[in-house]
Amino acid sequence: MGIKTECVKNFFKKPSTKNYPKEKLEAYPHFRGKIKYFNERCIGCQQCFKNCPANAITFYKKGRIDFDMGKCCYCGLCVDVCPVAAIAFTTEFEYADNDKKKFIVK
Amino acid sequence: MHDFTIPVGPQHSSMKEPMCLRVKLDGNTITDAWMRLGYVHRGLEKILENKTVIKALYIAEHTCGICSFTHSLCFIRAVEGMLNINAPKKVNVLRVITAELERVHSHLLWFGFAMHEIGFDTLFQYAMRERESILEVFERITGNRVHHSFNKIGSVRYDLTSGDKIFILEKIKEVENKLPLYFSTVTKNKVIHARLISVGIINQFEAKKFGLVGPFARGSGVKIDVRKDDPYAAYKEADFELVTEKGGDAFARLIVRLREIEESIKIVKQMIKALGDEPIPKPLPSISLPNAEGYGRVEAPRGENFHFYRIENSLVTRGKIKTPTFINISVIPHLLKGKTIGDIPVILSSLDPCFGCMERIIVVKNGKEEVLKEDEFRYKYC
Amino acid sequence: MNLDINTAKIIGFLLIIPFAVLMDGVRRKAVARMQNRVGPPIWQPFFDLIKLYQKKSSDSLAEKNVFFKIIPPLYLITTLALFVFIPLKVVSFKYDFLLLVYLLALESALFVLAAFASNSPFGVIASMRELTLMVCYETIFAIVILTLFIFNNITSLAGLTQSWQLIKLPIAAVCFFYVMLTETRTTPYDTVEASPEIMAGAESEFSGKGLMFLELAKMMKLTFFAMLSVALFFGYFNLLAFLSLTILIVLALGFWHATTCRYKVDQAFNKLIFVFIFALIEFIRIRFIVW
Repeated sequence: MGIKTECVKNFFKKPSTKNYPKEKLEAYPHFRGKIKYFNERCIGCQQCFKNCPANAITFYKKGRIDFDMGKCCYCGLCVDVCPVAAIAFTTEFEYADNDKKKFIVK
Repeated sequence: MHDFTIPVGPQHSSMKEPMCLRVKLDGNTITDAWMRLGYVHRGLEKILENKTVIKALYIAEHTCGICSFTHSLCFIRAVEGMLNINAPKKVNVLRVITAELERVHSHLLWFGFAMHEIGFDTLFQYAMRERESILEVFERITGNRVHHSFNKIGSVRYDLTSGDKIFILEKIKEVENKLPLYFSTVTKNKVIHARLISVGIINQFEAKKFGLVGPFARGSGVKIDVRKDDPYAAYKEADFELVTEKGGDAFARLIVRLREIEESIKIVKQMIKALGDEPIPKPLPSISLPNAEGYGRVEAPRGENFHFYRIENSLVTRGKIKTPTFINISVIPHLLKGKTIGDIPVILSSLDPCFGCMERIIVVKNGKEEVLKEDEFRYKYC
Repeated sequence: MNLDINTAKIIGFLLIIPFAVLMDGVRRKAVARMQNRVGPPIWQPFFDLIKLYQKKSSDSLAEKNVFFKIIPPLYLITTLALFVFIPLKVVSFKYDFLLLVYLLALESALFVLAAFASNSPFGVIASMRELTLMVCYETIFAIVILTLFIFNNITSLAGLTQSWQLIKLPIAAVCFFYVMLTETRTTPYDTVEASPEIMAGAESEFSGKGLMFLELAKMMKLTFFAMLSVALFFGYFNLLAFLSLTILIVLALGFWHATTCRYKVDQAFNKLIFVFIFALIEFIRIRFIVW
């Protein structure tokens, strides 16, 4: 079987790629996407702030923490370390923007 | 025709990352070539300093985008050596599975780009299609497609469920079914032969002299592979062949990499069989380390990775990362001499360069570059 | 000279431009499907051209060069002029073989000039490659056309009435196919604009309207060669058959593009020399052995 037969076969087959903005792939449940922060659960222990390798977290006070997704390296340390599960990953991955302020999750 | 110099880079379509390569031409023939690096220097070793080990693991992982897992594995090997932790067998097996899947994905990516450089866009598309199935596996088992952050000290992030095992085997099968197509195309297509055979020849003696590593050296018949020479994780139990080819040209490297995909798939299958039922240990919450120095080396898809760390008061105070491209790139001007312009992308891509992970240090003093010998450098900056 | 102009022909002549753009879209879509991907919509080239037309041209130093500015429109007009012979036969001369060959050579020469004027080392290399290959493929083209003219005993393309010459002149057809590959910049003979090697040659310096003219000319060249090959080797039955055969040729070129990779310039030259010899053999054969 050579490349020529493969090409002819694929010509009549359904393409393997998706027509992206119209059809989308589903992310798997483990996927580490945009962070979600439940500020009512937060106890202000600062563990996430201390553990972040990318310095993406700014701590103001209990219940008010900024996560800069532009800096985030998606390592998941803040989620692992939080004692009250106030931080969680969602499977959302499409948040490209021209405005840097929109990367900040509050 | 006059001889003149053409710039291949920093922005050039035959390179996916910036590197300045100047090529002096006499007609169609290259008489001289020299290069300048440092466009993507990120100061990664400096960032590593004064970080706790748990943080440093994820920074070390971000050395490279394509072979990120091997960098974290290298870090783990160095730190676990210092801490005298022996990770349980299951953890090691999981690490080997991820590392080998990463090799498959890296080689497929390389194969696609190498074919794109000589104008075979169809094989590029097919290679990307096969790579996608590997990336889906990564997304499912590690949680991310590129920077997996799968390793933890003494453990890994997730265990494999039985559904995951079937999923991996399915996706691996998809790649395996397509490999004969690539082999037959590459070995039969006359245009590929005309472009790749006896281009960029480096013989075994020269390969040893330049200290080449990885598939680049294996294409010249040098038997060098950390997985065999200094087995880590669960590679001792794995039964695989050390692939070497005798040609030493771009075509031999192509064949080496394609055959390595086969071997990697073989290893993944063995490892999934060897996977036990016991649960994986919980990662250590906080680590207090003795003041120590340690190193780790692993076989990345491009060759040998070497990490050195010094730890004082539980903080990393010095990190040294040596990536395979840093060694292999030195041979490029030597290979280019006497070739034609059409050979530049072939030779460059046959090296599989990764400039982002390679660039480590620039010493600039009084506006001039400083040339240092190895000992001087160690004395001054380490 | 024989001018045959009426309203229908002028409309047909103007319709060729959107048809050529559409053909490029068809080729792209076909290649995409062969590569197992969705690919751009068929009308994507229209959007590309409109976008390029709206763009400002770059501040390249070459913009000061007069040649650099006037060559893209000239290139487009020369390509458009090729369609005068095929398929509508608006103008027919008594000996139009010479004019056809001359126009094609002029087009290549304009490309070379543009590359030299582009003030870029890659452009110079591209023009060198174009000149090297031009020596071969223009000669082959001339020989193939001459073979056809002598075989049919005609002096003008308008006099070509025989169909299915593919069977009578198979070697000439194959040689013509190789010329077509080189002229339409299809692999394995797209050395002139090899993007990983020399950054698409001169084109990397052009921008805005100039690039739009060049792109449009390239699309029209593809359609012209497809139409010419149908007219020469299949014959003109009716409009529908003619256009569908043209689409088939375009698909064949797309298939060739998908299943081969690029030769280096010296290898391409060596291969074309062989084609040249075969074209000569065919030229000599028709005088002695005819079936």
